[in-house]
Amino acid sequence: MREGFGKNSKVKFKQGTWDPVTKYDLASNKFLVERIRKQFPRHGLLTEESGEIKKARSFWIIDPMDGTRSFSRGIQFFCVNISFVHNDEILYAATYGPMQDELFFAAKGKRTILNGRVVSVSREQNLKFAYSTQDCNGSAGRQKDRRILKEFTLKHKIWDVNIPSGALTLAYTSAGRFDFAANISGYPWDYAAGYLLIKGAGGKVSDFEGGPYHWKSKTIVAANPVLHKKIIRGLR
Amino acid sequence: MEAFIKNLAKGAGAILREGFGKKLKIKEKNGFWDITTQYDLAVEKFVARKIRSRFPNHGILGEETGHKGDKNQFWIVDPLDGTRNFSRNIPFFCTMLAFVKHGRIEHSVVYDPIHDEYFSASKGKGATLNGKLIRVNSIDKIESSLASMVWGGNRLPPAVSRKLVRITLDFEIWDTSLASGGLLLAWTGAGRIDFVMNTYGAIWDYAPGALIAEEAGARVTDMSGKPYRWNSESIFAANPVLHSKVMKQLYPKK
Repeated sequence: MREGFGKNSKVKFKQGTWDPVTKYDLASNKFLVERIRKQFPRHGLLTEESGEIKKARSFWIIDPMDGTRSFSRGIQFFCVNISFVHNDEILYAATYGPMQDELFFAAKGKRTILNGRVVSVSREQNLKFAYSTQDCNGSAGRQKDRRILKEFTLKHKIWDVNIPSGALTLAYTSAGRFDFAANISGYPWDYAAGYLLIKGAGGKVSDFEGGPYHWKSKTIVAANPVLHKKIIRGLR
Repeated sequence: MEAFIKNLAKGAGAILREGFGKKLKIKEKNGFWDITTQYDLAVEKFVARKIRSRFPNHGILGEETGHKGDKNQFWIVDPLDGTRNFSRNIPFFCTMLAFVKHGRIEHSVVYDPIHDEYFSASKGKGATLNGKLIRVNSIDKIESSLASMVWGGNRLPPAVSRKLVRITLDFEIWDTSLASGGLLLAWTGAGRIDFVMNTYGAIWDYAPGALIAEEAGARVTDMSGKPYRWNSESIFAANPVLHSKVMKQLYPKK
């Protein structure tokens, strides 16, 4: 991806102008799929670019490039996003931002690390002071959720910072850079890794309604436990 | 002049790059959202000293020190735009400068030290990124556009926030509000995003990015549609086609 960044590359659109794919998404996808198949021939795979390649109790969820719209416009905020699921539970997660050379990594039951150092979610407990990030884009996700989230943000006068890569915003939240993330425009490959990164950093994670997050969830809300409770209450 | 500005901005950027991720002394100004760190102050001091020794007759209008000296020829200095990002290790901020002569912005610079991107423009000469000419993009639809519409929660009057949010939702805009208005204006000039709308900021937040966007082909106005001046209190920059479409949405009766 780093090599392809800023090069003139052909962009194809999938669902609309907001959903592009480049040859670098595909190259990254191919690289990851081949590596995993070689190492773990029995594992299943679910990827943004090829869908479900194989069903298995142990499988990998891969987004070879989250933030393709950023990438295709010369914006440096995009990442590769990988998680490993066994018996329906996310056991490992990695999010890597190649332009900043930042690798966020988590293993279930262990602390989340960023480039080798342990990270924690922020300690902010007051909604009024919260610095938030929201993946709430265009036509993705439910219209009703978009309205609820914007209304909530307006009501509490919250700052929302919108990096156009939902997975990267979750990784940043795990490192305490944002006080909370409310992402509602996703697919499993967008948020599954972020779930474990934030859990391992001491955060509380749920779906948009406040129910337990599952790797299939298309929405995610993450913060420290005190702030999380206030957010979910506010979104009701 | 261009070489002087380049050295100045890169020197300022080096101070910020060095401070990024280090322990900060944070002071609040107007409130929790309006902060300054020792690096904002160090950069402004560095920049002011360099300008004074090279151009002793010029005035300086800085975020941290206010307007000092001449008002016909002066420099607008924002040592660190995106301080809240900087203070939280979010790699999205910049240092910015503009030179104003007789009420006109003549030169400007927006420098992102983390990604080493140097945006600059001189009046009538086009805008560049790391030496290469940049242009706004030719997106002509508001639907699904990539734009920075509104941010800064508590800084906007609720009615303004509401209107902007409504447009964002109705047109399914992808909001890229990254909390450094200056850098987003430069990005608009480079065609990375489609437009920037920003209000209730300060002079130094807009002036440098405004010239870059304009020289890259953007129409740059304030929120009411009047041509942008160095001291306008709001800004709206987009390619001319998109600009007029968005204005029609903001003021349907005009």
